[in-house]
This record gives sequence, structure tokens and C-alpha cells, in this order.
Amino acid sequence: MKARRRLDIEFLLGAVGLAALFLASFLVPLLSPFDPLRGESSALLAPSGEHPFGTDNLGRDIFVRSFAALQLDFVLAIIAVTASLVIGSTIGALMGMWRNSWISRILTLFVDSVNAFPFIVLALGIVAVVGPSAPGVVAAIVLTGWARYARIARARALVVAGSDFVSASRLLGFGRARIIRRHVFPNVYAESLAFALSELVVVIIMIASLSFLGAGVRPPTAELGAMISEGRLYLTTAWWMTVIPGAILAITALCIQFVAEGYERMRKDV
Amino acid sequence: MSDARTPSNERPYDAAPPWIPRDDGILSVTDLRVDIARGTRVTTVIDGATFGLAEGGALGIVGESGSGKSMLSRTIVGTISRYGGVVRSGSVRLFGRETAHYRDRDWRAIRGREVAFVPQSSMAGLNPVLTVGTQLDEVLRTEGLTPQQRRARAIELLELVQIARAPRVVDEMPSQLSGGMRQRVVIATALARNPRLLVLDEPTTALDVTVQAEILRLIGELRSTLGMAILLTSHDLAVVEQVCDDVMTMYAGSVVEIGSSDRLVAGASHPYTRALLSSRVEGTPPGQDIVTIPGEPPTAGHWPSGCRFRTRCPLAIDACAVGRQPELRVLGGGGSACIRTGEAS
Amino acid sequence: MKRLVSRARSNYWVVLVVRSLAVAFIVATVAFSILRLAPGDPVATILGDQATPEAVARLRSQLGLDGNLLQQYLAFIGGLFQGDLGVSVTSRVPVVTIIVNSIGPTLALIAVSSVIGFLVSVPLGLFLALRPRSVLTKSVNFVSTLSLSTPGFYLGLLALMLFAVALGIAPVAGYDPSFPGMLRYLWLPALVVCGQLIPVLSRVFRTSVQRTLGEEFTEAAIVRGIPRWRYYVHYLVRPSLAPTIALLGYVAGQLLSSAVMIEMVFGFPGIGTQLVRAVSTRDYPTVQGIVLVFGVFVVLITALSEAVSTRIDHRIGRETP
Repeated sequence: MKARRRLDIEFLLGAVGLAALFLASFLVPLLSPFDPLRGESSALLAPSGEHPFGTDNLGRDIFVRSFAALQLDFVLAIIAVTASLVIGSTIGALMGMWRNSWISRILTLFVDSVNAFPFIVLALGIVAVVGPSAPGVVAAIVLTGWARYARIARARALVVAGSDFVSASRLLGFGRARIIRRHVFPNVYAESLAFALSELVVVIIMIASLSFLGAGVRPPTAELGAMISEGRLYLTTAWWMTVIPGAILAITALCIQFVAEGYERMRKDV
Repeated sequence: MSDARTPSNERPYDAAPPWIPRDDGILSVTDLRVDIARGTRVTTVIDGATFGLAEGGALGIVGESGSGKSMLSRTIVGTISRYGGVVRSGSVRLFGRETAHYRDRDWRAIRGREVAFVPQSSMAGLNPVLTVGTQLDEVLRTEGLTPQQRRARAIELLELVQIARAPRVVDEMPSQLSGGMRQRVVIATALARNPRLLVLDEPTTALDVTVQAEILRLIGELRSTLGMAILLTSHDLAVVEQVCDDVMTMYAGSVVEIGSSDRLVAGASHPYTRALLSSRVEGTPPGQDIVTIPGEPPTAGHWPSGCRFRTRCPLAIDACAVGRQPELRVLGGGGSACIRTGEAS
Repeated sequence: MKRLVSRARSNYWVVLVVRSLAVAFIVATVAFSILRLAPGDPVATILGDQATPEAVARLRSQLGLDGNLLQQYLAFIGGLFQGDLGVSVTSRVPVVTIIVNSIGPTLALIAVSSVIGFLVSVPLGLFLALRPRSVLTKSVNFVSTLSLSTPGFYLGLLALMLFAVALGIAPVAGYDPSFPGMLRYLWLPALVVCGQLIPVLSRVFRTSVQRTLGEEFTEAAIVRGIPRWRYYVHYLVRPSLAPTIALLGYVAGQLLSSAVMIEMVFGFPGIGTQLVRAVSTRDYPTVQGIVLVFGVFVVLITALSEAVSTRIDHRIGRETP
């Protein structure tokens, strides 16, 4: 009994926090009197009633900027994860179905190779080529991340493809495509979805990391990682420029993590 | 019939059969109930087991998977907490000590010395990263011997379990040995400190048939040489018959029959035991189909009402579905948990 | 001949080496293709539209972009075998030299982090597996989750603020290549990297120990009365190490990513800093070369860890990898 209650608390906390942050990321930029892109106040003001998070070196209100940045991060992360999920799982499922052909074996090697790269390195390489930008970041994340989904999907597809159920369907004359569509895919997506949830945290941090390095979203667009980088010069004088956006990022990631872990635990408990 | 067990007409005259729990026996279990608690779910796996084992006796526990026999042997050696198991009620007296509610530190006093355990899979009793010799040495450390003496004793033990070229085997890794040899080594580690009780859980299931026979013969011989008591579980009646004086059948968490081996061979009382007997390959005349028991044993938590065997029992009547699992009725030197025991069949 | 091939196919080591080479090869090809898949013409981007044809041709040849794709690829592979990774467009220094000069600090950082990380994760993982319901376990799990949710660079900045600026016990930036001088610059970044490494590694080890606990030989050992500490070390930790080591390739990838970010935060003159600099100046040959080196490094670690884990644990089947 006790175990279950504790689970719910963590999951609940994460879900509520996440919902609140998500809502805020859309409402704050809408309702705030300040412009996230243009500085209208004095620079480097400490947090106060008018500016709850203070202002940055260009006089922009950090409160509205942080939530606008959070909004961007949410949108980019969801796009990136969805794209990776769909592309990676599809390729993985196909690899699993055609398991014995030489194409599948080469693809497996390829997938392993992509997985071998440390993310940042490969992503930086991609950004070097496409240039730092929001689409560039998404492209970099999808191109480095799809392989992880492919691996999971392939493992799952192998199991399903080898199952008696599928063999029976084949014997009855059902075409491969139909089997894939109706049986392999649903099975594969379910498990990949759970993984995608936990990947959301990683992706948000990746977006922020790339932007921090200057290889992601470019100024003056508000992005949490970029804001932290901008605040570095003022670490000693205006700590709120770095600490607060980072805290928001960390809290968001924590909420997603709680939700993902809680979901995983509840899934297993049943 | 092998010579491993003591025929019942040669046993010392005693009013009560050896499988009745007694205070001066090695082991006496009364009304034992064991549950497994996994998170929020609690499942009963042993429901009301009662039996005893005397000094030097040999009791075999037969049952299909899910019968609770493995959990029973583990309750006796005190490792059910690994599986989330807990003793709900009842008594387990081991060497006169009540161990049903023992904790880890209580067990440490008697483990290894008086009771020893041989697990099912032959690889699984041995640590794969240590040599055979090291593992024997570990057990011997408490005996106060010098390293050389320990090594000598280790070789001695290996020879006791009839391993050829013992001095060589001592330095080998478990992965280098065959299944049968590994099982012998596990038995050797169990015997290292002269236990009074040896508990074996399906010791031959993972072995080839020919090796099985050898191991069983070995166990029987060791029992007569060393005079220790044996508690052996198996799903195979033939295995148990070979080594044990007394046999207990379990079904769906409770004891359905108990009695001496001889009596069993002559003709069991409980329908389940009878079905087991007639489903053996050896007992079937050539040309006849091997009789199988229809259906599957119920999993813990999904036991039928009344007598749990009634859904597969050829003698089931309406009364069988009513009430709880029948108690053991002692009749003619054996106990049987069937309400139709004693009817002329 | 056929028999030779068939024998080679079933020999574990041969397959491992061949497979690793294949992966390394594909890694190199990926590094190669990144540059070639750029939209637009890198040369034009770098030189602008006032470039003379000679300058264009020269730069193109320097970047290895002359000739058709196949010729470029062959030249690239050929260069690899000769240890030639091209020349940096910004500094005219051979890429190999850049790498060699900057890899020292990175290796030092990774080495120190790995050692500390391992020394902490093993006992921690053991504890987490043995006492899953204790209050301490729950707090450790919470801190782990917290650490995994915090971006590495943010953690690094906070650490800098606390230890270097506020407390003054760590240098703000820089490096000393001599030993033991380097430790002064290494300890804080290494600690931050560990903050990201330990949650992952300890959980991996915990899972491994949980699996070992489920094996019957641990139960048999308990009933045999093996003394507690001996049981922990030889029956839990040792058998659980091999599966953990097998995963080292994956952990190494994470570790390298962490290291790159931390290098940037701490102004560490390592290979990560070089990579970021090269990306921002569009120094394609350097980017290509560093990406390649990183990728091959991880492939090596993966192969090595697979090989080591099979040696130390005879259970891990000698199946073809």
C-alpha cells in the first residue's frame, strides 16, 4: 500500500509541475508587458517586484524571456522527439522484419555506428554544416537520436516477427506489409513511446547545451541555454542571468523525469 | 527398488510413523502457511503443511510446478525473503529451534553447519568467477584448519562425491566441468561441515537421465555413510522413490498425501498421487498410451474452491467443491487429504 | 578456403575485430559525409564572392573537395591510412597536430573522472541493490534523478560560482600540463563530470547486482554461511562487474559528451574546446577530423570492453558478437 502512494506523489508532482510550466510558457509571454526580444528597461537590474527575475545586460526582462525560451524549448523538443520516434521506429521495425537479409545486417552496423558517437560531437558536426539555427538543432538531434529508437524497435520487431502469431498470419497468406502495419507497428510503438518520454528530458538538455555552445538557437531569440551563456560574463555581477534560466531548465527536466519514471513504474506494477 | 532407503518393515518399532512432526525430530513443520508479498499483491503459496523428519530419515516432496514444494524447501533453509516470502502462521522447528520467524542474524548461527542446501540447476550452485577449490576452501575456513589441511580436505570431499582426478579438479573453474560434475561439487560443498540435514531442491532435473541415476545413487550412499537426514524435492516420483524412505505429495500449496515409499509403490490413497504413479513411463505396459493428468495445475492465487485437485480428479463428486481443502486423514499408515479416502474403490 | 572462412566466422576474436573495423569504417564514412552533405558550397561561404579562381581552387583542394565524390572519398580514406586528416583552414596547421596537442587535457579529465566515478559507483550500486527500500536509497535515487535532470554545463557553472568565485578554492580557468600541477585544475571539472557519470554508472551496476542476486549461486552461498563481506565482494561485486564493463562503450559516449561541455565551461584547453572553436569558424577539416577521432575512440572502447568482459567472466557466452 505504501509503495503505491509514494509513486503517485512523485508522478503527481511531476505532472502538475509540468502542466504549470507548460501553461506558463505560453501565458507569460502573452500576458507580460515586456518584450522578450527587446530591452526596454535598465540593464542588469536585480530581481524585484517589477522584474521578478531581474533584467539582463540588454535590459530585457528575464521573467518573460525565460518563459518564452521555455516555450521554444518545449516546441523544439516535442518536434525532435516525435521525428526521431517515427523515423527511428519505422526503420527499426523494418530492420526487424527483414532480419536475415544482408541489408538488415548492414543497417544494424550502421545503427550501431551512429549510436557509437558521443552525441555532442556528432551534433556539433552537423551544426557546423547546416549552421546554427533552430531547425539546425532539431536536425542535429534527430540525426543523432533516431538510431536509439531504431535499436529498440528492431529488438521488439524481432520478437514479434518470430512469434507464432505472425507465422500463423503468414501461413494464412497475409502479405508482409499488412502484418507489419497491423501487428508489428502497434507493438513497437508502445514500448518506444515509454522510451520517448524519458528521452524528452535528454533532448531538452541537448537543445540547451547546443545553444549554450553557440551552435544552436541564435540571439536575440530567447533560449534557455543561450541565456545561460549570455550571462556567463556577468557571473559575479548579475548572477540571476545565469542561475535563473538554468533553474527553470532543471526544474522542467525534473518534472518530466518524475512523470517518465512514475509512468514506467506504474506500467510495471500492473 | 534401490538399496538407498530403509524398508519400512526394518525400521525400529515406533507407534508413530517418522513423518509425523515430533519434538525430538530434526524437523517438524506444523500448519505452515507462507505468503509471497510483491508490492501490493499478497499470494499464498503454502497453505497448511504439516510433516516431520527424524534424525537420519529421508523425506521426498513430490509436486508439479506451482505446488509450493520449492518454497517449502527454501522456508526450511531460511531464504524465502529473497522471493518476497514470509511465514504467515504455523511452526517450523529445526533442530528444536523455532525458525519460522528467524531473521538473518538468527540464521547465521546454524547456516552451513547443521543444514545445507543443494539447488536445482547444476551451474547455479557455484560461483562462476571462483575456482572449485576456492569455494570449498571458503566453507572450510571456519573449521580451524591450516590452508594445507583445507586443501587436503577439499580433495577428500571431491573424492567422497566420486569425482575422478580430484587434485586436478580442485583448481578448475565451474565452467570447465560437466553438469554432473558440477552437481557433485555442489554436493561436496554442502557436505563440507557434516550437516545433519541436507536439503536438495530438484537436484537432478537439469541433468541427463544417466547422470541422474548416478547422482541419486551417490546421495543414497552418502546418506548411509554420513548418517545425515535428507529432504529432497522433485516433480519426478521415480527420483524420490529411489532415495527416500517417506514421500509427501503436494498440490496447489498443500500436502495431499504422505506416507512411506513402500506403501506408495504398493498403491497410494490420494487420487493425485495415484495419477502421478500411473503417468510414469516405467509403470506403463508397452503398447499402452501413457496416462496423463488432464488440465494444468492452478497457479497460486487462483486455486479452486474446496479441494484444489477436484478440477482434474477422476473421483471428484459434488461435495468436493464445498468448503476448504480437505485435511490429511491418517489411514493405514499414511495420510491422505481426500474426503473419499477409505472408500472401497 | 570455404572452411577457413567458416572457421574464421565462428572464432569470437576474428568476428569482434572485423566487426569493429567495419563500424570504424562506417564512422569514418559518416564523418566524411557530414561535410559533403552541406547545403551550399563551403568554399564560397568561407571566401565570399570576391575570391579569385586560384584561391577557390586552392581552398577546394585543401578541403579535399576537388574531384568527384568517389575521388574525394578515396583520397580521404587514403589519407586516413597515412595518418593525414587534412589541414585546418583557419590556422593552416595539420589537423592531426591540433588533435595531438589538445587531446592531453581531455584524456586527463576523462581518466580522473572515470577512476573516481568507478570507485564511487560500484559500492553505491551494491548498496542500492541490497537495500532497495531504505531511506538512504530513496534519497540517493532522488539526488541521482536531480543530477540527471540538470544540464552538465549548468552544474559546472554553479560549481564554478561556488568553489572558484565564492570560495576561491579552485582556479577559474586554465590548465597546467605538468603532473601533479594538473590536479589543481582537474579536480573540480572532474567532480562535475562525475556528478553526471555516477548516477548512470551506479544504476547500471545496481541492475547488474540485482540480476546476480537472482541467480541461485548467491542463494546457495548464503545457505552455506559465507561470511558477509566475502559474499559481497566475491559473490556479488565480482560476478556483476563483467556485464557492467560490457556496457562501457555506451557510458564512454556519455562521458565524452559531458567532457566536451565541461571543457567549455572551465576553459579547459582540450579537444572539446577545439571542436567548438572549429564549428564556430567553419573549419571543416578540423571538425571532420575531431568527429572521426571521437567516433573511432568509442568504437575502440566498445570493442575493448566487450573483449575484457568475456575474459573475466566465463559465463558471458562466446557467442559471435
